[in-house]
Amino acid sequence: MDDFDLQDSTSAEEVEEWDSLSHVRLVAAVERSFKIRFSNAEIEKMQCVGDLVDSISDKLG
Amino acid sequence: MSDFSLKGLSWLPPAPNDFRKRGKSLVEGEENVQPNDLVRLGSCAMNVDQLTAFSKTIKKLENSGKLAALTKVKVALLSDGTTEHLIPAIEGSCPRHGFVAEVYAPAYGQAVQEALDPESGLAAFNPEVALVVSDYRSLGMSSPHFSAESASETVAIALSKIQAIVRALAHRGTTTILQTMPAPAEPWCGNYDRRIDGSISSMIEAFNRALFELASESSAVILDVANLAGQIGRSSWFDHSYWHRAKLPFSMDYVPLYADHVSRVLSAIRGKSRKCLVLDLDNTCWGGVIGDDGVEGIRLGQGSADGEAFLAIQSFALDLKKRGIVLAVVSKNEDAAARLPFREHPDMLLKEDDIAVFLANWNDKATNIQHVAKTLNIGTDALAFLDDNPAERQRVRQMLPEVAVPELPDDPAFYPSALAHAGYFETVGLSADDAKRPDQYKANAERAVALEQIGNYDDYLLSLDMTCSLQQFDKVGRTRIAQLINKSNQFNLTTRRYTEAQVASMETDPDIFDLQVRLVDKFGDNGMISVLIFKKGSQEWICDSWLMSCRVLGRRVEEAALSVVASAAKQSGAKYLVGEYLPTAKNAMVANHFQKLGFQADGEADPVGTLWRLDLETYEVPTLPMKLVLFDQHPEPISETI
Repeated sequence: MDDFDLQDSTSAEEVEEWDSLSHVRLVAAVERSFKIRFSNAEIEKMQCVGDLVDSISDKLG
Repeated sequence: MSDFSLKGLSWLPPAPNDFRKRGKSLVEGEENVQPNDLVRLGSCAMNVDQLTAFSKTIKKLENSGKLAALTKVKVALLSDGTTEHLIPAIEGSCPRHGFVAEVYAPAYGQAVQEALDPESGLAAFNPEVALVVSDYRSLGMSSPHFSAESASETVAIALSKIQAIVRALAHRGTTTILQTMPAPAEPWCGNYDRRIDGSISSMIEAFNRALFELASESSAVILDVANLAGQIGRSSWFDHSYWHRAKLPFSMDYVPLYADHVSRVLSAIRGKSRKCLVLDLDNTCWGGVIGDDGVEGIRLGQGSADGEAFLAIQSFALDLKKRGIVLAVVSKNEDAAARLPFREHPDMLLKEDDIAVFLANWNDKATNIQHVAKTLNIGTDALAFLDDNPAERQRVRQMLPEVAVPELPDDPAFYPSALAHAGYFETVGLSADDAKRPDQYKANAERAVALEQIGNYDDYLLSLDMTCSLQQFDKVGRTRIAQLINKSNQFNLTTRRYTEAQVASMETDPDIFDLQVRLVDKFGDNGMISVLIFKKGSQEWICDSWLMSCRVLGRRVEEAALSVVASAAKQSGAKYLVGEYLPTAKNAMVANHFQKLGFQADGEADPVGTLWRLDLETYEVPTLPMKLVLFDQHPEPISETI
């Protein structure tokens, strides 16, 4: 995703390679870099990039 | 780096900050990419994302045709869980073991069907190796049974599923890797669990035991994930959240470690494991610098924690020697000083006799390491090098990326851990020949001295009192035959690789004439040193494979082998032997093999190579400086499998 215009509203449906497994990988990478852990309920609630960003901010307090 | 971590693959240097950029510049660069460029970039500790990026780099290089020849292995991953994230991780881990892999996995839940269906995508992919993954959750073992009968029935059903896959794969000549499964960490009856047959732990234990038996019966290879998870700790190996999230079979944290284990087993199947451990001396085999501190000053032996740690390193090296790993020394020292502890320190476990090549001088270590390989007649890619000095390690990695150089923690107490967990010396089978190998390499050095003393080469060969025994393939020789077929690069006319399963099928194939050759001389037993495979025809016998260990080069063993093939062919009524030479980067030494044996040139081989023909009518058996012993069938095992 080198030359990709990422918005808060961007969702998986708009990105061809963003399938369920790359979503798991993305969340895992986020968990690794921020040293946080999401519950599955939290992950299921995420609908777009903005939701993910909000969840990270919540965790980091 | 100070702490040793299994999860972090501590024996590998950390991935450079510009890792992705380096991959990109390989893809975008003008130059062709040499195998060592890929090995160098891949020989660091990558996380899952880096492994995935690296696997893409490899694919791009392959597609652009810029990647010069590197061994490629086609692997199928048969699992009921999610494996998509494992595929790029495995592909990204293989270059550090000297090869590339193409991995295929059937769609989720389709593994068994594809294995059994001759029309499946798996069949079309035609893998050389298939990894059969077992998981207690998909094999119906996620809940315990109160009755022993229903527990053993559950285990039997799970096993029959694996057996069906193994049988289907065996029909295709695919080498199977069977993966053992770890038990979940959570207890049922607590400390009583392993005493009741129906607990998950007990069922899994029974399953794994049966898997080992199945592996022995079917010449399959084991990937012991149960053991690996135990090394980690099963409560951290499993990540139940990720299982619920996406059916990931184990924690994402251990994907790089798992992928490296898959790669090292693949490399062992392909005969690419390391053969020799090269040791530095000062601060690696003892504490301190012998040239400065003297025999009394170095730290070694009981009584000091540091001294005991260095003893443990020596002891670990000797444990490796016990199973056939050759030991060598490369040290920046005066030769006399370096040898002093071996001769005079009472606590030294390593003796000069244990070291096949001992190089103590002031030359560059990379140069000395190349010299070790040359002396032992093995490739530099068969070496691992243990050195406490980070600068030396980096220098050797830079000059010789194909040499395995483990990163070491600050505390020498963990040197053996680093070396052991790095998995350089992975094996898929041990034979009695393995245990003898280190002594054979030493004996070779003694033979070189004998030759110097005698001078005349023919007299020298006669003085060796050689006995060459030749026999058809059999069960006893099978493991070593497969080993030779997969490891021999230099004296190898066609470099065709066959798995142990394929070798087994040749034993009874009426259209194949095969030979396993052993050589004994007055300095010792060289073990099995040559393998020949001929395809029988009514008029001509075609040489499919002819290979020999370079240890016995110039001993006229090839002439002895030819005389046996020729007489068998003649007896069956054939008129000609046909030889084929297929050149590789490593086998130039046998380009004129058939010519030297009296064959006539007979055109080009397909696609590149030369063909040769020997008229059996005019062939004469030469007088050979050795005793020949022929067996139709093995009378009794000469070497026992250990």
